[in-house]
Amino acid sequence: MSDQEIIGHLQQNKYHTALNGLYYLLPAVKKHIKANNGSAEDAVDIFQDALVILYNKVQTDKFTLTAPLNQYLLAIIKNCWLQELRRRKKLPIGEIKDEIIQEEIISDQDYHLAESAFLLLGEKCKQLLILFYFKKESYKKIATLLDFSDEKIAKNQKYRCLQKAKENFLQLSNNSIHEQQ
Amino acid sequence: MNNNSIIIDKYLQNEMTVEEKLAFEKRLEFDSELKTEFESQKQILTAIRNAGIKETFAKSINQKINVKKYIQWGSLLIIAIASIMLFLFRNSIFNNPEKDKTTISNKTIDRIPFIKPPMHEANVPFKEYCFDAEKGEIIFHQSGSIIEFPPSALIDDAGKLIKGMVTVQYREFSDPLDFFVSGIPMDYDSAGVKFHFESSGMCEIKVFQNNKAVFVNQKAKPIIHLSGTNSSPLHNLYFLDTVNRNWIFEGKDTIHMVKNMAPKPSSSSTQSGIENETLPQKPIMPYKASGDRQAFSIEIEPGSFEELFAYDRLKFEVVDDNTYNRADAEIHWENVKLEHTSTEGIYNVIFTNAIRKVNYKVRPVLDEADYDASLKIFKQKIKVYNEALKMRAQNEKIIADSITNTNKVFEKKWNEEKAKNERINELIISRNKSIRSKQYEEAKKIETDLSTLDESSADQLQSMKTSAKKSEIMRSFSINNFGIWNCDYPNFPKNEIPITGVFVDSSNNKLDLSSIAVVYRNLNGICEFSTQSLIKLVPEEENMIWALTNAGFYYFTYKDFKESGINNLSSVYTFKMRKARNNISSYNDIRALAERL
Repeated sequence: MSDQEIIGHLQQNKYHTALNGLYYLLPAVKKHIKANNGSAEDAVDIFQDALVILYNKVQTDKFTLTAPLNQYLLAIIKNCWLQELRRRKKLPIGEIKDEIIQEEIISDQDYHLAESAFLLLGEKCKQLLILFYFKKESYKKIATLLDFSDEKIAKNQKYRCLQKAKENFLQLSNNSIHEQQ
Repeated sequence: MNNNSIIIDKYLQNEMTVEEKLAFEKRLEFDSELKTEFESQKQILTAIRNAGIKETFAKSINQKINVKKYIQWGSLLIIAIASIMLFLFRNSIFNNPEKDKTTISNKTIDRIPFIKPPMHEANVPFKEYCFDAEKGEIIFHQSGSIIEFPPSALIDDAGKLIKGMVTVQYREFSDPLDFFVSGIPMDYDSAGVKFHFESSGMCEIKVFQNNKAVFVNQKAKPIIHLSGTNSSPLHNLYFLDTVNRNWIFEGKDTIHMVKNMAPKPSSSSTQSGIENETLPQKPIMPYKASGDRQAFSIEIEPGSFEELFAYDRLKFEVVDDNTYNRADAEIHWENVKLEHTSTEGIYNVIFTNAIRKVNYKVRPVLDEADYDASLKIFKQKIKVYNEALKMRAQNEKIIADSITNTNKVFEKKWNEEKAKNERINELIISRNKSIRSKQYEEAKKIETDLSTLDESSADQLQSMKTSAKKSEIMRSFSINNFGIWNCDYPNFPKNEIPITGVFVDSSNNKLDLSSIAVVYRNLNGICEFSTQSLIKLVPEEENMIWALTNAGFYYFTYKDFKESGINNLSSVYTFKMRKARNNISSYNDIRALAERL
């Protein structure tokens, strides 16, 4: 599968087909992560994170591929892992990033807080929000999938879960400010 | 949910008319509070969307990994069958023992060590023993364990029998502190699920001749009788494969009771198996609001009261109206918390603010308009629950019948084991007596010289006495390799909750931790975390935290945890860690500290 074909599949949300053209990179990713203080699980996780970044990148109008796609994705992976190591306090801030890409990693502190705020929710809440905001499912279908008695309750719960995520975000922001002080 | 959230959601979901959109954008320019809330909600929606994309990719990757596994297992099965056939064929034609040499695999050793002791100076020390490899040896370790080397138990890397003196390095890991300082991974991956090991005995054994490692002769394997106290038959035997970085299941050890014979197994009960069978949450029967009693609405944490999840617009009515103080309704409460009580359907609601705290017993009720719909939901749910209950009763009967038959087989087996145990016990008891008498001699020597009895000697004395008392069972197993052997039960604390932790010292300075571990009092294991921000705790248990920085050893005691107020709803907590006052420069230092915690 050519680079352009993979990009085309990603742009059309054909995740599985696009992955067929990129999955062969996973062993190289595992080798890299294992050689740099990580585990096989870390490698799969970082590979998924990098695919999300690539997916978001190709959706933008200004996206142009400046290097072969495999090199581009591996560069994202390396930077993601550097950031993760920094988060685990195993690397000093300011480590040199890969020269192919500088801007691909989401370095926004607020985004990371939002991500943590979401991850702190219960499993049912997370599924509910993904079904509504990502999969665009109707409240009726969500009620069936998550065993709610009716769509009204599904709607109500969705708002409660979103509100809980916002509360988590606020709490984490306050902690973060406290840490910086 | 406040109005801002709804408006922001409408805007972000593009559900506003052009006029509404313009008005909202105008408001955003001037209302900084709304702007902040808008930005956070926008980021959360991006995080949700990205989590959805990641989940989709993860599913595709898992599918591929599973397909790959099937192919690998299929290939392995074919290779295994082919190897067995080849072996049988070879044995039938060339039945020559000289050719049956052990082969040593030459695997590439990973550059990064799998076992990472966090403090090399405080690692569990090895004890060295020497013996003549040709003659074999029986080693009595200070813990009471026995290591049996039959004659000619050792070979070199070319498969030749070792002659002359060899050196054995041996050490044991008996509790969470040993696991922590040794850096041995204490988790086990089974089909993608991570378990914590609950250990009933672990040891490491290495043998050298002239500083060169030697190997086990598969025709005369050494036997380890590991002294311990945990006689649970659930525990399995595992060997740590440091090349492939995982624990390999090696079957079961044999348990010998040192002082008394194993009690005859009583008839098995169905209870333990059945208790674990999950039932759906029992629904709560809805009640109509009385109208006379005080009732109020409470925002319930999503997912926290599963039995109430089905009902919308629930209210909570005070059970005993006489206890209700109407003036409380006028007070501004900062926190409202709902808790279960021991009575089904009755809850405790706690209102708090900076000045006061009040609580009322309440029951969930519904207004007349919502009651019929809720009763319908209840009937559906109770039907599902009763069916599950009935199914469980049927399963109980099936298991009880099968257990009666199994018990007969067990009885026969037990009689055979009894005879075997009695024979081995004689050997173990006489050897244990020998090592205990040595320990008591040393202990007596220390006791007689009271003037030199410093703290470490006292600890040593206590340890000797305790050690002698504790040698109650032996776990015996033969080994086919030198390395780390572990008698464990893969445990999975069911009620672990993730906590985002901030770790500070007594002056509230943030600690940069290089290693962090959680110890649950009732689990002889340890839970280590690679990231220092997200850890897992069990609120119902007693938890202790150990951590290291460049500056030393820090800890959060069981008592600190008890007083922390961490519960199932906690998600973020700042841990004020205590620092070890004395420098830790040896295993004895950290052992002495841990025993005081």
